[in-house]
Amino acid sequence: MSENNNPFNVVNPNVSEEHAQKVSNEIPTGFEESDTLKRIEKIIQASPIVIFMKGNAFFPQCGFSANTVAAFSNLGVEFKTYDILQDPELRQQIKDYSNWPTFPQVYVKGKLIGGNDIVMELYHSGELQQILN
Amino acid sequence: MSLTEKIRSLLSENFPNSEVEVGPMRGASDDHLEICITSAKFNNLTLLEQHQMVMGVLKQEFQDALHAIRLKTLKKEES
Repeated sequence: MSENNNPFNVVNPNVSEEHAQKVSNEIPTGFEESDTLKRIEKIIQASPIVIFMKGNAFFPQCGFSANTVAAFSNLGVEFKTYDILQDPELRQQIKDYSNWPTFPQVYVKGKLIGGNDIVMELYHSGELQQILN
Repeated sequence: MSLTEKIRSLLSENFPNSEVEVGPMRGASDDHLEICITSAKFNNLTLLEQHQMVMGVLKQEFQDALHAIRLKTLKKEES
């Protein structure tokens, strides 16, 4: 998809790779636990900000996931990502866990704050920064 | 019935006395929709809870033909 044609409310796609590397960190598939529900709980506690997404911060596989990553990168905060494309069981189960059927899903301090639309609303209103403080 | 019409009908049933707008997402395929709902059902809910209420209604649709949505929820002032 070309940038001119991008339907997403992109914050600023021009995040340097160096910056992205500094602020992001991918949680490995299967993280410390074979039981899927327990794995979800461990992952959301692995960092104050965890993004369950398609792909990772460098190679997001979906425009919504890319956009959410860009928002947190622009705030300069540290976050971790988990690639649900690599973990089909978790991908299904977290939809029930969170009562949320799509990705990305963003957890702050262990609680779901929402998907890309909510992140964008909170980002543009300045509330996202407040939540993170 | 198109996916847009099906989703509009489903949301209108679940959000009576509300404004429900459903349309295609610009620059994306037909299984991506933009949805805006103005409803008093949102009045005492947090933003997360408002979106979860809509996502709950669409849960089965996401298992079927619907791939992604952009969602805007607005509270409706009681008249």
